[in-house]
Amino acid sequence: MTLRTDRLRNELLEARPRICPERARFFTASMKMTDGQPIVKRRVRAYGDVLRSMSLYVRDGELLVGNLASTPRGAPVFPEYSVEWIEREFHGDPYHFYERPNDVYDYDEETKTEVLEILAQWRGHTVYEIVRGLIPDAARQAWDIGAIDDDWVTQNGFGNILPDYGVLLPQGLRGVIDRAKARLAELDLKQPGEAKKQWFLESVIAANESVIGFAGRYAEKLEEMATRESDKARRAELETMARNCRNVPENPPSSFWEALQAVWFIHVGILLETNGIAISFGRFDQYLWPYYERDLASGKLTREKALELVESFFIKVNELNIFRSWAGAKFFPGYHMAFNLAIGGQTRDGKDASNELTYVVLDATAKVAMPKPSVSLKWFERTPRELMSRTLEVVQEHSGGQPAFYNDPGVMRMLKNLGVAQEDLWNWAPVGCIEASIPGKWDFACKGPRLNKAKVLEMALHGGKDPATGITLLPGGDLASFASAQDVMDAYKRQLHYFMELQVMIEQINDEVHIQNDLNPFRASLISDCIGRGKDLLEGGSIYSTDGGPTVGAMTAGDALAGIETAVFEQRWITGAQLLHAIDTNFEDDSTTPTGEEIRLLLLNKAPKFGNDDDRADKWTVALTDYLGSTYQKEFKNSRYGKGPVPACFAYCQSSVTANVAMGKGVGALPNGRKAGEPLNNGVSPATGAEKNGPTATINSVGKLPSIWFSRGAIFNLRLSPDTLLTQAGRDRVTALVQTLFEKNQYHIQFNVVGTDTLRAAQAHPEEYRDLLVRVAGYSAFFAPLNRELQEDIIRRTEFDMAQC
Amino acid sequence: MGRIFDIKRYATGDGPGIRALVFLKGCPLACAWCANPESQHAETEILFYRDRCVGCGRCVAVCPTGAIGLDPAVGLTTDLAKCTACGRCVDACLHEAREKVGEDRSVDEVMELLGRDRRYYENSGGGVTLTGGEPLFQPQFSAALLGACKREGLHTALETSGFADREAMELVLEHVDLLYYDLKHPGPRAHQAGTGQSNAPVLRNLSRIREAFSGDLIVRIPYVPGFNEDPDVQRKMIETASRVRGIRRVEILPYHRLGLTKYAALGRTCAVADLAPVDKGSLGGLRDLGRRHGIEVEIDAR
Ligand code: SF4
Ligand code: SF4
Repeated sequence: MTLRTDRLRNELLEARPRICPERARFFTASMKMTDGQPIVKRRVRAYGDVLRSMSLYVRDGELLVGNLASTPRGAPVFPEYSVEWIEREFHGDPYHFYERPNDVYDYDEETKTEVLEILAQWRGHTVYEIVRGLIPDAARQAWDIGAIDDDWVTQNGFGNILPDYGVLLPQGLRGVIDRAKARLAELDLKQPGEAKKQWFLESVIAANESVIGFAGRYAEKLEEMATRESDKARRAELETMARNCRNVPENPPSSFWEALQAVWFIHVGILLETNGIAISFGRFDQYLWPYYERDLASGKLTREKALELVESFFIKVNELNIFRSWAGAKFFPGYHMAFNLAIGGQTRDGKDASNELTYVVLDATAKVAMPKPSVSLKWFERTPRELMSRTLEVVQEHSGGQPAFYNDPGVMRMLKNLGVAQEDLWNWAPVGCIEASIPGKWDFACKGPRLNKAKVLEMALHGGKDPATGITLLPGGDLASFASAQDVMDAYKRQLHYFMELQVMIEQINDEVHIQNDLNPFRASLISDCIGRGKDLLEGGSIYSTDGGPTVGAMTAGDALAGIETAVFEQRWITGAQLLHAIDTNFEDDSTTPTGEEIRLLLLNKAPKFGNDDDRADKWTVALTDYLGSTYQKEFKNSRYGKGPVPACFAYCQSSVTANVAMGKGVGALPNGRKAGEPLNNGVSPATGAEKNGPTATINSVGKLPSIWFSRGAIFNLRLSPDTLLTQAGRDRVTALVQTLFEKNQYHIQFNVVGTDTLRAAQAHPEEYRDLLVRVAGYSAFFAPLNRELQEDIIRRTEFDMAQC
Repeated sequence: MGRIFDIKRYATGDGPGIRALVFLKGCPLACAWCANPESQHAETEILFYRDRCVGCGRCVAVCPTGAIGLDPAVGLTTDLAKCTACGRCVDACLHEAREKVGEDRSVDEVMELLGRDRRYYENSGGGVTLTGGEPLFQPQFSAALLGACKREGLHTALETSGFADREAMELVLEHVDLLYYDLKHPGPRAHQAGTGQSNAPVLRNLSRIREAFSGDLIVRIPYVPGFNEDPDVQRKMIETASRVRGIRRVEILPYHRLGLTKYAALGRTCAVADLAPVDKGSLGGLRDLGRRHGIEVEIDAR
């Protein structure tokens, strides 16, 4: 890491996130003037006003420019999606922004007054309020109970977008504009529906011009700065940067540096249009390779300089921030934005795609060692051993679980099953936390209400009633009445189906509300074939489309089913009624025989658990997973069905992020021995403490899952003792673990290598461990600022002591 | 049938790659510093972890022979003379305070378990290691199990004290790719005192090892203060090792105390319980010693 990168990084570690009112200010002022116009035209005009008016900054020494807010780590406000949580939290409910347990934001009084004043203008008209007002009562209740939850895509815009920079860079935004103009010229406005297309295409042109203009503002600023700069070297840099901003993103980049700057402007451009998270970078080492190779050959660039540029890019990514509700911050702590960035994988003709730039990206990942972006290695059978070894070294150096490993052939198999064309498969890339997408062809790689599978099981065991609120949505038999474990499973499936239906209903409404309030022509213009069809993504502009929010707790639920089978129907330690009483009293009634605590220990220590290669437990999780995966995909269509994209269905997602902790809080005691409020399992990883037979057994359990349904991702965390990756022999063994998991067609694996000792020390002395990273779920976060519960969950996850035998 | 006390499915210190470690129960030696005391007796035993016991009495209630007593002064006691190691108390205990060590398993049963991890061995260049106890103490079973592994194409390793008769050696070594052979002390009297047995068969078997075994060979020396830390003693062992044809290296395993809780759980006391663990940094001289004898010495391969 150069001194410059080091300084920029340190400044950023010091920077306190601040609420930035600018975007809300200019956006709201503009929207007020266009009431009644088509939404796409209103929004694109407001977008243009924001890009023309917001303040720009250039940090001392930085090589790439383009900011989202007025300060590094500043968080812009998007009032059109939701306002009440902002108002509440400004008043200290449940915390003031600056005193939250994690994800704090600072602000000054002036900002608070201005933001509150803006919010007042939006109250009653936000997407969130409109959606909540339109959905059926049962859906609202299910949401309030916490069985399902659509906060993340109703309080915010939709995200999980992946442009195809490989196509975009060589044509520049000018190419996008030209294409829209050509398409506009073809329209026959006498034909039905063409008027809307005209609005859309005109908005595409305006949006792209605005982003080009945004870059132009930087060019001016940089030119002006250059004239004032006394340091000769820096002056030359500023001049080059100004020239870069004159050329990109409008035109094809003429250098590696320009290519990075182009990607950056487009990325920031997408983030300023709507605040949906998980806008991803795709196959970074592939689309930038031609520029790198050319500049290196011509002597314009050295590997060292390229590394510094990539480091600068990574620093820039960490300047981005999102303004998130406290409820949201519990699900996605650490200002998580899920910018996925892929390396490795294969070429169109099945060759190893890695190159020198792949290693440059790895070096930058290790050296910058910050939470963003989420670097992902696409593994396939011809990924070189050297690349695996270097990547695992970086896992150690980064310490926050990056890079993560993705199964290239495995994911291709899943995507094929979903209906993705053969010629697109090789180029897939992970988006957001984990979900697979085809660059430039997919609308939203992840979208829709979350599902709490453990909560639904709790309700199924209670005759459909949620014990916490007393609400019953779909009545049925309870645990005391079931005659077999299969009966329990059948009741559970029936409840699951009911909640899946509610999820789908909510999302249909959510989409219609977004269509009326939230069309976004800039991002749409980057995804094929929105321009050709003259449609926004939500109107069916993309080639591929799926919905399906993250679902949480399958392994916890599977273990609970195994616990019921063992305790009630096989060993007959207790009756179903006794077990129901035990969970209702949180295993604390010691007047029963056996006592509540004895029942808990029987379930915990004597019943089989997922993660030990034990079919008695694994069969339940497998059955549950197969049911959910096949049902989502085969039964439910999303709102774009019949409008162009395929397969336009729902799909099963197990990207739980840290929702396993937040969602666990609302779930009572369960028959796997878990007490009320404790975390659920994370992704497809075994429940905390469940695995006792080492990593091969755990991987064998995960390997049994019907991964054909996993195209929306399945997070698998494995902890390694800190010294595992220090030797070549250790890295080779871990490579074999990865390879074997992937031979079993599974999706993903990531490693946490920080020792429990270090985590405990960081808990005690957060100031000394300011930059200690941990893998949270689909992404990395700094450990020290996380709240205590989450810290504890991370520490508790079983550490496989790979050094001891 | 073989008597096994543990199978570790992801072992990393006893041979290349990812390996399964199969621990056989029973050993003719009784080394004072043994880190796996539960491996020594051939009989199945019940371990009792006093600190986990809450005194609930569930084990007492299920014991068919009345072997477990509840003594208000010391807590639970198990009368070994009455215990038949039936394991019922282990099933009854909810606090993981009791553990049964020693299970009779057939070659097929063990192979089924090992087979589950076959791809990890293959992808990592790993395999299966037999250790103990003393695998040569159950030569028929060890030979059958290793033979089955070889038929499945798995790499095999064996760790032995070398205290066995010729026939047992030959029977088993036929199926071994990598052999770990322990040397504990060159002196007959000291060996007898520390391990309870003479070192004559150990040295004799080692000197003739190449008649029976042509695979990879590593000599392991436990480094135990108060027993064999004398430089002269170490030198003699390294010399002995260096005379074996084609030996790969010597590994020094410094004494550690990780086995102490198990002595307590077995109701035994460790003869060297007060011994401090060895500082590995202080053993660098042995490496130089090896170099002088033309042999690589590695400190604590684990
Ligand atoms: S193993 Fe059987 S005989 Fe021995 S103490 Fe336990 S229950 Fe009693
Ligand atoms: S069952 Fe377990 S906890 Fe209870 S007395 Fe026996 S050993 Fe102790």
